[in-house]
Amino acid sequence: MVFNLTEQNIFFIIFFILAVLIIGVCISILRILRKEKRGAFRSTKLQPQPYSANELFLRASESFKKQLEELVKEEIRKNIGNLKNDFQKTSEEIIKNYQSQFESGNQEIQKVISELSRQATEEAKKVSGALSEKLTQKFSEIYQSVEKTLNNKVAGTEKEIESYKKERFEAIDRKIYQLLGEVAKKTIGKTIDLSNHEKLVIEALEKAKKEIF
Amino acid sequence: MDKDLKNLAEKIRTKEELIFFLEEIAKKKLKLEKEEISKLEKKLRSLPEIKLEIAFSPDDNFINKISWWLEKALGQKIILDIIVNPKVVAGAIIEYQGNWRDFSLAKKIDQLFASKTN
Repeated sequence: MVFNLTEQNIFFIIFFILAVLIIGVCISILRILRKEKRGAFRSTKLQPQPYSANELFLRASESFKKQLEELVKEEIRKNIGNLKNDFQKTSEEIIKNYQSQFESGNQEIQKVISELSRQATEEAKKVSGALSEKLTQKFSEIYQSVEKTLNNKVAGTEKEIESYKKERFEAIDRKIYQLLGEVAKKTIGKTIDLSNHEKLVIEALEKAKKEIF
Repeated sequence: MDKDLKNLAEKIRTKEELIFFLEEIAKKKLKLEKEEISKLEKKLRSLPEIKLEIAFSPDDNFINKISWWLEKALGQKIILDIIVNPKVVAGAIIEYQGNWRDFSLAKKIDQLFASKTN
């Protein structure tokens, strides 16, 4: 059973209950007053009313007042008790209703959260997959670029080393020939100019003529 | 055959000139001259060759001088294969018909060093 109790409804119920109680109390008071009146009317009709009797009546009225008050108090207490019980019951029902609503709402929320979580996980997986693919591609591109740059650098460095080696060897050769020229000068006692070179070649040919021609 | 071509063939002294000449006649080869040119080519290819390893780059006069000297010494035209190698220092390393002799100053220096170190 579903209760849709708004604040307005609750006030209305409380107001209604209080009104019923007040009417009930009023009805009880009226009944008691009628009974009293009837009794008084009978006694005045049958016997003459002396002053002392009026005093008794007044005394009786005092006790009646007290009784009435107690009765009213008792009635009010009872009604308050009933009201309390009713209010408690209603409150409990409202709380129960809210609790059940909250539980069902909570379950709904749990469902929605779990669904959202599942969807988020799937989306995250998809995004992660795409991202991973892109990252791999990017990494491969970077790797290739770096490899190419490194290869170019290595090739350039090798070329530089080669040219440096060549240069150094040539310099060493020049020094060797210079040294050999000096040695030759000491060996044959003269520097080797072009005419000396030519003479030495002719000498070599003459020697060869004797030996191998 | 063209007279100029024959005169040119007579002037060949070095291996480079011979190769250049053979390449040129290969380009100009005509059907009518084919036989004569082949004969010339064969003759030129059969000329004896002498390999000279020397320390300097010889000028034209010196090549003529050697060519003439060798032709006189051997009694026939010789093709010179000149290799310039500064390591020879001076003199020459000569190779002729499978015979090889080192008359270079480098060898003399080596011998001198060897004698000094021993």
